[in-house]
Amino acid sequence: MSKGELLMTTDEKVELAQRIEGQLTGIIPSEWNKWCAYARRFGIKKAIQFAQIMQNSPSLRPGPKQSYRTISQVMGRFRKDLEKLSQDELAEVFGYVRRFLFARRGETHEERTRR
Amino acid sequence: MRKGLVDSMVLMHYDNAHEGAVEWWEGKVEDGWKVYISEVSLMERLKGVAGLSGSREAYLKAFRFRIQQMKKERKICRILPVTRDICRKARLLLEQYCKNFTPSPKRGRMEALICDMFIAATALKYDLILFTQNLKDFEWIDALNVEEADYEIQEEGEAP
Repeated sequence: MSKGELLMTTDEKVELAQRIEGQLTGIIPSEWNKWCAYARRFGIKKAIQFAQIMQNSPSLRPGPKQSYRTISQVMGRFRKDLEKLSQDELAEVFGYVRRFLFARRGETHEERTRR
Repeated sequence: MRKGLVDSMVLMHYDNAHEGAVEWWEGKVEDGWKVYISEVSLMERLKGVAGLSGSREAYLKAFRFRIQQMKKERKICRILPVTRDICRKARLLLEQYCKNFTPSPKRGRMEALICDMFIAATALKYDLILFTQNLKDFEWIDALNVEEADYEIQEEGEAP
């Protein structure tokens, strides 16, 4: 499948987003958003390279560094799938990932009622 | 080497991508701390799975993957089991609590208290500092070394 030739269905995009989100460990949503904006502008390959540089950046705090470490590993695994997508599809998949990331909080009843 | 056990809430916050918790945990690891969790915390994390509307198997698989990843990257040094010693100690702590305090009548309070006692007993058994956001739940235990996991949880107001 090449860009624009065969569009993914919504179900396929949702499934891909779920697979990506499930692997995101120790991620800060604001760093994810920044990386997505970078990926949409410069492409997946450059964005992964950017994350690889950022994960070792001495100017970053430990949290963002971990976020970029996770992004470079996970998105590296999904690179081929993501490179097939058009800009709009990519934006949609990234949006679903973000939603699933926030949905984790509600699904797991994290705020114990006792507190 | 400094060693600490994080309580269930901190693990939940980290896994749920709360910025403060990620920053705190990663900072500890970068500062050379060995971070441990209890099997009890893993089980507590699964509360609510039975109420999921989506694929529960997919959720569990993803959670297991993230925990494995944390172990691989030494974010979790070891997952500590509940041994017979820990059970006995937890029961003694609970007895002590019941003699001196009255648990809140809130639903689930006693259940959460039992989990807390297992976690406290684990920290005592392995001589670990217990990191929690709920100091008052543990500071009555004289022999326990408790420190606050000092981060803030901010709701970003994200609309799904």
